[in-house]
Amino acid sequence: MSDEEVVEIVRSQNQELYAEIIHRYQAKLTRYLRYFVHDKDDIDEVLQLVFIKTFRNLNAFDIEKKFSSWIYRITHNEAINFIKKRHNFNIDLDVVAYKIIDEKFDIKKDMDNEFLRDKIEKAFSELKMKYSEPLILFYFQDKSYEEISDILKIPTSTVGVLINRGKKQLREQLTFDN
Amino acid sequence: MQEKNTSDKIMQEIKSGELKIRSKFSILTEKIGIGSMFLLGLLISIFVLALLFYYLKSSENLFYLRFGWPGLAPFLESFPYLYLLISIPVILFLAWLFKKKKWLYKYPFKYIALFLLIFVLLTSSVFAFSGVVEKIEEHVFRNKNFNFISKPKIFEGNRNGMAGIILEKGEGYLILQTPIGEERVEVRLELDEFEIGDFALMIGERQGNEFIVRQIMIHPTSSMPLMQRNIRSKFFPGVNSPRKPFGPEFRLMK
Repeated sequence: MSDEEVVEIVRSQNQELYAEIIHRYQAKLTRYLRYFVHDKDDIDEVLQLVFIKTFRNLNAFDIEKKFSSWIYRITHNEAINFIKKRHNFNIDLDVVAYKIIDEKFDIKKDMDNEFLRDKIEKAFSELKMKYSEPLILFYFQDKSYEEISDILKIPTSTVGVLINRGKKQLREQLTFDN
Repeated sequence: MQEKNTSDKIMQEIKSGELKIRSKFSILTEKIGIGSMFLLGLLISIFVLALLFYYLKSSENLFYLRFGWPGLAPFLESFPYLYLLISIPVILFLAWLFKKKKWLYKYPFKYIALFLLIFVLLTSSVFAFSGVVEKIEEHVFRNKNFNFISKPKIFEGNRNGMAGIILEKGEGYLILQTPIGEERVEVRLELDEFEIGDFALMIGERQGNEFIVRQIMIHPTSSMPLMQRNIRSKFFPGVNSPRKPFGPEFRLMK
């Protein structure tokens, strides 16, 4: 059953089927939130807010659109609210993320992996959110340009521009520091 | 384990009824509310800009520019800034609402803003030049409480320009009927070609209580219907025939 079909059933017949939505998205959204929120308890708190808001506003979801983009949008908004409240944004990348950056960002690495890892984290944290968000969604969450456009509510053409600029800035930052 | 806890907590709230889905009615009401706010803002901006274009079309304001550079000061003095002061914030609010709500986010915002501006300007021009605004203004004119619609100038009284009907002609002076009352102006030009009842547009400067005319033009009163009505309301209140021409015979009626 697709997400949209599950949502339709939850709205009209069986609200307890919402557990299926939580089961499908909990791991994905936790990974996504980890790029913005470090503390495990904070991640749980934000994630709960996301699922609560999603449930409360299920009638506002347009069944013709992708549910995945919609719930990611809510998660994005809650992450932003959290960062604004705590005035603190530091990216926390996992091993998979470093590997992806290493392969795809064409960084000159004459440094050992630990050093590179710290450098990448610092450089990513210094990127403006408008560049880091599309990068995270595209490279680490495997979202398409169209989906990123729906999640961040920006034109599809702008997604490509922001990703390229973000990559360029990151590369410049890392090669400069090197 | 974490997954089970989060899921259990939320499902518990759903089962107990603590957590409910918002009704479709409440969501629809919210959408209608925001949509109505946008529509109202759009209508206000179109109406006010239509009044601006109508004012420029039917008052003495643009005619001052026919004097060339000397006419710039009276043009700026008599410009209807009030309409701009109302319409610009409303248009900015509409643009802000579009951006905040991320409507039409698939398109770059600058194109949406440009489209909105062109739409408002075009629609208000159509209303201004089609006669609709003139009918509204005539109707409203009779209600003194809404007089600001036909008198949107911030600065009352003329410092660099004046327009009115010649009431009296004498050696080096004219007395005019203007929207703010009778005005005596000093004229150092030949007055032979000016007749009592002519509608005169002039530029000059005010020195104390005196207005010294530098240049003067005669226009048909029909070219500035708004001026006609404003003068009429000042001197002949209660007369409801805005298209009746002015002239000495009209003055005698008073």
